[in-house]
Order: sequence, then C-alpha cells, then structure tokens
Amino acid sequence: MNQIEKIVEGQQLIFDYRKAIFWKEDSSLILSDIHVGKIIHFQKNGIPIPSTGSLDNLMNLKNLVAEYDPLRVYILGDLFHSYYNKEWDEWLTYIETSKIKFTLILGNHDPIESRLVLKSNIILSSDLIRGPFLFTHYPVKSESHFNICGHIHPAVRLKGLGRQYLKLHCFYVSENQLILPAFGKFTGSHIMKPKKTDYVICLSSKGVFEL
Amino acid sequence: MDKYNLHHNWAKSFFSKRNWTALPFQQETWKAILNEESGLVNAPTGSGKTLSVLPPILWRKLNSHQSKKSSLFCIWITPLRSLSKQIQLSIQDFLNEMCNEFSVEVRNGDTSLKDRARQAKKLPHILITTPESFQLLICSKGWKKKLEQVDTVVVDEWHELIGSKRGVQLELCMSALRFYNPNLKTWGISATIGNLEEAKKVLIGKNDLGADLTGKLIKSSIKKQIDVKVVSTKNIKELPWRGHLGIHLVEDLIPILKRSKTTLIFTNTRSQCEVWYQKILSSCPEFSGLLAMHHGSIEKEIRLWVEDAVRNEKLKAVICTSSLDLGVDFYPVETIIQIGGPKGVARFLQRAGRSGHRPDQISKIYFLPTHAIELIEASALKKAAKKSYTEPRIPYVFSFDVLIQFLVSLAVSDGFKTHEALSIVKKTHAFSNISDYEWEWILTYISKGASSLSAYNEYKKVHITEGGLFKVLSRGIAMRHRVQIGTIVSDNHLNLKLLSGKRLGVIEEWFISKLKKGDVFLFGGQYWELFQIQQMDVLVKKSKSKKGKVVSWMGGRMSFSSYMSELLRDEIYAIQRKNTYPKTLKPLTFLIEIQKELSIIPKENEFLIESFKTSEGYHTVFYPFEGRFVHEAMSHLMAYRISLLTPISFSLAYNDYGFELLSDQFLDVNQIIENNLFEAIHVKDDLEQSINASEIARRKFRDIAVISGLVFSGMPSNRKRNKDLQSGSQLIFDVFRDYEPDNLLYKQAFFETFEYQLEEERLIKAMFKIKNQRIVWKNIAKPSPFSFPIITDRLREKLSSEELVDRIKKMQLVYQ
Repeated sequence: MNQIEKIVEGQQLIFDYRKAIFWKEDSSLILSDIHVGKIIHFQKNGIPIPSTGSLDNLMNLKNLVAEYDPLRVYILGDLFHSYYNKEWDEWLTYIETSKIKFTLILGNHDPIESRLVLKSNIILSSDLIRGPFLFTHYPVKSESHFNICGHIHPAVRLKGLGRQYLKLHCFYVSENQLILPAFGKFTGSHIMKPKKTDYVICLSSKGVFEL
Repeated sequence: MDKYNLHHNWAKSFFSKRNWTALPFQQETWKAILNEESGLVNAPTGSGKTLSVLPPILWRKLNSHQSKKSSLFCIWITPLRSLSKQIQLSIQDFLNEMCNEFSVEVRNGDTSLKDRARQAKKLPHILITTPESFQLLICSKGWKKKLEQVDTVVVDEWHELIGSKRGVQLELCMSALRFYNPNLKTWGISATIGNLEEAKKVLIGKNDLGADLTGKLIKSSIKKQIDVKVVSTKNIKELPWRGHLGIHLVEDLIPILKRSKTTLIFTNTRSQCEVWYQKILSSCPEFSGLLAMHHGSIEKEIRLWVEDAVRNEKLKAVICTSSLDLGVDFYPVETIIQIGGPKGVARFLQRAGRSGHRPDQISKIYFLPTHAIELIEASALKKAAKKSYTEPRIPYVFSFDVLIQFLVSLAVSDGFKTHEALSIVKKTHAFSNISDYEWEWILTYISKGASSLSAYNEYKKVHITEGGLFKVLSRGIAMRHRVQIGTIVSDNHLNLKLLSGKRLGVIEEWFISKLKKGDVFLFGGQYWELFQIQQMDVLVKKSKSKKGKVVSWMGGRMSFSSYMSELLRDEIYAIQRKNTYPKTLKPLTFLIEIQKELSIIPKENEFLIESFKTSEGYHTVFYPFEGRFVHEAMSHLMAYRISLLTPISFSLAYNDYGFELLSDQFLDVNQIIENNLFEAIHVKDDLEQSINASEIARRKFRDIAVISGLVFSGMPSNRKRNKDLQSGSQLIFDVFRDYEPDNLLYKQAFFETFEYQLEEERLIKAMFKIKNQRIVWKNIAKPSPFSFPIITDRLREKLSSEELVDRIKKMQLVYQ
C-alpha cells in the first residue's frame, strides 16, 4: 500500500509512503525534518559522503505536489541542516517560484541564517494553529489542540516468533499527538516504545503498514 | 678485545650485581644489534626480553659522536598503556646504574597536558609510547626534525599488534621514519606465535624493490614449564549446562587463593570480573583490602595503583580481564586462575606465563570451567600445554581506513608529495601490493572526496598546493583528525562520575540507557545509584544496597583456533571409545548420559543435527565442532542456501561447538540432505550472497567509518559543538550501498568479513569433512545438553528470504 487514509479529529489525513501527510480539507501537504544540505555540510568539513542521495529529497516533494496538487505545504522544522551551502539553492528557488504557499515551523537545525535566505513565499513561525491542529517542531502537550510535530524521527521495533526483529521508520500517533518521520534521506531515527493505546503507521520500501 | 667483548663486559656488570647471568639469546641479540642488524626476539615473558635489546642500543649511542647524544634516539612501542610504566622502571633502573646521562619518558593517552607540553619542546632520549601516540607525533609540525636522530624502534609484544589494524598503523609509521632515515633499525619482541618468520618480515618492512629487508630471528631456548590443573567442583551435578559466570565454584577457589602468595584471576568479560570480585569478598571477608580488580573500563589511576600494589606484594589476588594479559612483570605472582574457556591455546599459555616469572620457575595455572561442556575444553587445554603448539596471528592487509588516517596525518603536519608517500606505503607489508587504481582512488578521496561528489563539490579536507604538496589547511579538520586518531572503536562511552566530579571510569551508552534514575548497578566492585545523565557524564552516588544490575560490555568475542577445535573434537570422539575415555571428563558422565538419552554423542564419521521446538520457535542445531568463526560462516551459508528453497527467516546463533538456525517454521533437514546443501562447491559465491543478505559487513563497517574519519565522535572537551557533523556509520553504509558501491571503504567491510572473520578456507575444509560424514538427524522433545549454550546465546545474526510485507504481517510491536 502506498497510502493509508485516516480520520483524525474529524479531518481526513492521507499518510503517504514518501513520509508526508496530505490533509484533504485544508489541501495541505505536511512534512518534517528534511535536513537539506546535510551531506554537503559533511563534505565541506572533510567527510566524503556521496551526495546523490540528498537529491532525491526535492524530487520526492515535487512528485508529492504533482500527485496531490496542494495549496499549502507545512514544513515542521529542520528544513535546513547547519549553515548555508549550495544545496540550499535549489530548494530556495523551488520555494520562491512555487504557486504553493509554504510555512516553515522553525526547528533546532534552522539557524538564524535560514531566516535570512528564506525571503519570499514562505511564512516562518515557531508554531501554527489550523483547524483542530497545533503544528510545532518539538512535541508539545496541548489541552485545546491535537499536536502534529516532528523532531523525533520516530521508528519502532517489531518482534516475531523465532527471535525475528525489524526496525521501521513510522508515523507515530498517540492520544493527542502525531509525530512525523523525517522526510530527508540520510537522517537517523529514534526507537519509540509504544503504549498499547498508541498506534503507528510503519514505512518501508514496500509502502505503508498500519499496526 | 673485539667490539662485542667491550660491550658484553659492560652489560654483564649490570647482570652480575644482581646474580643474573646473561642468557644465550640475550647475548645473541646484543651481537646482532651491535652489527647494525634489525630483527625479532622471541622469548617468553619474564625471561629478560627488555635487557636483550636495551644495552647495545645505549652502548652504540654512548660511543657515537657527542653532538648526536642530545635528542631522542629510541622509540619504544608498547601495545598497552599499562605496560609503559613497568618498562620505564626497568629501563630507568639500567640507566641509573650504567649511563645516567640518558633519560626515558612515557608518552601516551594517559600523559598529562603539562608533560606533553614539556615533551613538545624537548623529547627524552628514549620515548615509550603506543602506536596511536606514535602516529600523533607524526601529526605534529616539524616531526621529521624531531625524530631525525632516532636510530632504533623497539616494538614490545609485537605478537599483540600484528593481527590487528594497530599493527598496520605501526607499519606505516615505521616505514615513514625509515624513509627519512634509511639506517633506522627495527627490533621486535614477541611471545611465541605460529608465524614468527612472517611476523619478523612484517615488522622490518621492504626495500625499494619490494623485497623483504633482512633481519634476524632470535629464539630463546627457554621452555617455560606449565602446570595445568582443572578445578573441579565437589558436586559436579551443580555445574550448569550453560552460563559463564561460574560463581557457584567460589568455594572451590578460596583454598587456592589462601595457599598462594599472590594470584591473578582471569575472567573473559568485565562483567564477570565485577561479579567474581563481589562473590569472593562476601564468601571470604578477611580478604577485604587485599583483593583488587583490574579491567579496561576502570579509571587509570586505580589501574596503576593496582599494578603497583601487586608489585609491592600488597595484594592477595587481582581479578582481571585481558587488561592484564601482557608482559607486565609481576614477580610476586605465584598462581594464575583462568575462569571459563580462554578460547585459544596461545592466550592460555600467555596467561599461564604471568606466574613463575623467572626463567627457571614453573608456571602454574588453574582452569575453572564455568559450565559442564567446558570440561571438554579443559581436557583439551591440558593436552595443548604439553605439546606447546601455538596459533599464527595473521597480519592485516589492504586496510584502506588506516591508510587514509595515516595520509591525512602526514598532510596535517608538514604535508606530503605523492611519490614520497607512495614509496613509504609500498614498503609496508600491508600495502606492498596496492594497485595504481587503489592509490589514485585514495588520493582523490582525501583531496576531492568520493567519486560521486560531483553535484555541488564543496568538499574540503586535504588541499593540493601549486607545488603538488598534499596539505590540510583547515584548523578544524586538523584538530578533528588528531582527536580521532587511535579511537579505540567501541560503543559510545560515557564518563562515570561521582557527584563531586571524581571520575570512576567509562560505561557504554547502551547499558546506561536501560537504567532509570535511582537504579543501582555494580561497577568497580561498588554499588552505585544512578543520579543523573548530563550529556557525556553519568553522575552517580554510592549506594548502600547489596544488589544491583551488573554492567555488561558488548566487547568482541573470541573464537577457537583451528588447533583448539581439533583438540576439542578429539576429546568428544574419545568419549565414544571406551578405552580412551579421558579421565578429566569423568565428572561429565551424567551429562553425557543425558545427551546420549536424548540424542547421541557423534562419532568421528557422524555429523549431528538436532531439531526441537520451544516457545521461541523451531530450533535446528548443527555440530561441526570447528570453532566460532567457522560456525558463523557456515550458519550464514546454510541459512542462505535453505532460504533459496523456500521463503524463510532465520535467527542465527553460534559458539565454538556448533550453530543454530532458529525460525518460526519447521525445518525439514531431509530437504537439506536431498538438495545437497553441504556441497563444498560455490562456497565463495554463496557466502558472498549470504553476507549481502545479513548484517555482518555492516557491523565491520563501523570500525572502518571511525578510523577513516567518516564518523566523528566529537571533541572530548566540547562534544556538543560538533553535533551537526555526527551521524551513524549505519546510515553511511546505506548511502554507499545505494549510491557508491565501488567505494573502497565500503568494499573493505566485505573484504575484512571474508578474510578475517569467516575464515573461508577453514570453512571449505569443514564442508568437505561433512560430506564424508554420515548425517544423523535427531528430532528431540527438548533441548539437549550440547545445544543449551548455543540456543541461549543472545548475540545473533539474521537472514531472510521472505517478503518484507509477509514478515511484518507475522510480527508485533515491541511495547513499553
């Protein structure tokens, strides 16, 4: 399966295998933790990691946009990794020339520099309330709203008979919160320990799975 | 009088004051050094190895031109920091009496900043150091000038270095020194290993034409007599079927400790060390204050104190790990106890040699089996000690990670020209066959980054100046490189500290991550309560509790050598022959009876496979008795071949006796037999496929990524600042696999897996042997005694041919 559709707080959310969510009523695409420029940042500091991998990030977003045709894109923080480098340019051009409205919730990896380069067609904010949802970078507890956030890069461990184990990246949904997986390639993950009341949508190269 | 006599008389005056005589191998070495030769001295610990090389090196200097006497002339390499002090003391002893114008100092990771700063200005005449600190010297500006008077490098305990990447690191550094000082002499000191001649060649390097430089191999005729005793418990039935702590035997141990002046107790793991310390103290409280512990995670001051206390006869016993394996000369030690299987004959004999530290004394070692099956091992070790056979240690080759680290070191200090560097590199054993392609790749890699960096090339590491000099210009890169050198690759370590800030040692992150505030654990013989984790520090306070978790370390596991496996098989087959039933195995009879009842004891012409079901799933256990590494390879190979027949997922476990394939489906062994899966053809191809399907190479890549500088673990003083440069080696492994599979560092992970881990040749031999054996398949109702230690092992590999989707469907979330 490439998509799973869920009703959350009365809203229709489509969980896509490319690590993004499409919110139907709002016509918005939600993604988090892209870490653009991470690989080049490593290279600049003498750590030679092939950069081909990071190019897929923008391609993935373009494909998602082509498929869902959203009016808005919400990025829940860590769009950029560390300081400016040339890899940022493609993204800046794409954002500036796009017909879609972008919002960036500032994360820990979005230094002051990103405010300077992100000039047009993007709203920068520390959080955003829309409909029943409160969008943040870090997970927060909210009485009034359902929190959608990033930062954690969640993954879960699965266990089977015969000592079988798997670790998968996931969308992590708990009582009043949804944590998105990291959209960017070349990002790590953190293993969550779910409660029985939580549910997760796992990601693999073969699609999305509900658990 | 000839030139030898003058020296010999001088050196012997030191000996005669102590009522020692210079042994033939010592005199032979003296002569060779006076003749300006290089070489390797093979002598057991405690036979006066230091004095076999030291006097003539000093003599040559004493008789040389005055102007050359002011600077460093001898570098003395030791593999372990804990050895440095002892060597310094014995050299100082000689200097005080014979030539006090020379100085000797230590420089290693334990050296204080103050001493380092002083040494940066003026080095001593003799410098005792480790391979890592040696490379750091080469990283400093003007190193050629500082080291230009060095005429001899002595490598102590070379056998400990040769089979590791540190050996390669040392080869490169020595070759660099030799390049700028062609008259440099190299002397190694080594315990007995199976390939001494090769060890000598690797040590002294090659000439411009790629031929080995000449050198002498001097063997002492001293045969250490070793007395092996097996400690068997009064009630053998209490020996568990598995379990490696062995603490139920503590009462049997106490009388041995009481009888002997000083005892070293070797355990195989640090956690075992901790537990034994507690148990001995609680069963024998009068030892309080006379008992100490020594292992790699304990703070260095405490370790040094323990070493001193042993020398000064202040301790009754020390419980230690391989941290005390090497040649520290502990004269008062009378007895050695080995708890649990030592895995190799060489290691066992080496440990035995820690006692009876005079050439003429008998070494006494007690072996204490921790589980029943180890009695078979004990019996085999007794035989090995009699035959005095030892295994070879295979030198590493083509370790490109180490080469990259070395070249960047040269670039950090004074820079290098490629033809010079190539000449240095080619004269080492490790890289004598490096191809033009590989060399060019490495140069491109450090100067321009990997081949697929083209998109936005902002890569910066080594700069090529107009004159063609490879040089690191960025201070940040230089600093990070120095920090990274010689990082002993291990799990992320955190500092263990008291609230007052006093450091207790280091602890692995994964262990601490399982604990909550207020949890109590055992470390350094004390119970501690976890107070707080602050970045890289774990703050604790003393706990009054007498119970707590035992800190465990994931450290590498050892495998039986082929020789040890052979001895082991002999013992097992002997069980079947009534008249040869080994006496040492008598206590095992009851267990052997259970094994026979449930299954069989295989004969020489039989190959045993057992199948049974438990709550964990379907177990199939194979018994080739070939040692852990061969079993690791064979389990991958078999799992892969079976997975081609049907979609199936396996969890793999192995020990020195056999291996297990665990699955959620029943495995029909007849299928294996009918499809000829033990066939010894296409082994290499199949093994390659299975390695791709599993995660061994991925784990090997961890060391490689750290050594070559792909993974940066942060500055010791300010770990946080470099957080945006940290990433996991696993992530990088995936990127290479997907985008740059011809990257030499990525390929090295596979090469190393094949060459040093899986022992393909031994595997093929073992497969041929199985082909000529009769396969006996036993479907049994419950685990047999033979299978028990294997199926309870928690360190496992996995291999699967099932679709991911199908696997996920059968699985469940791991909940809190």
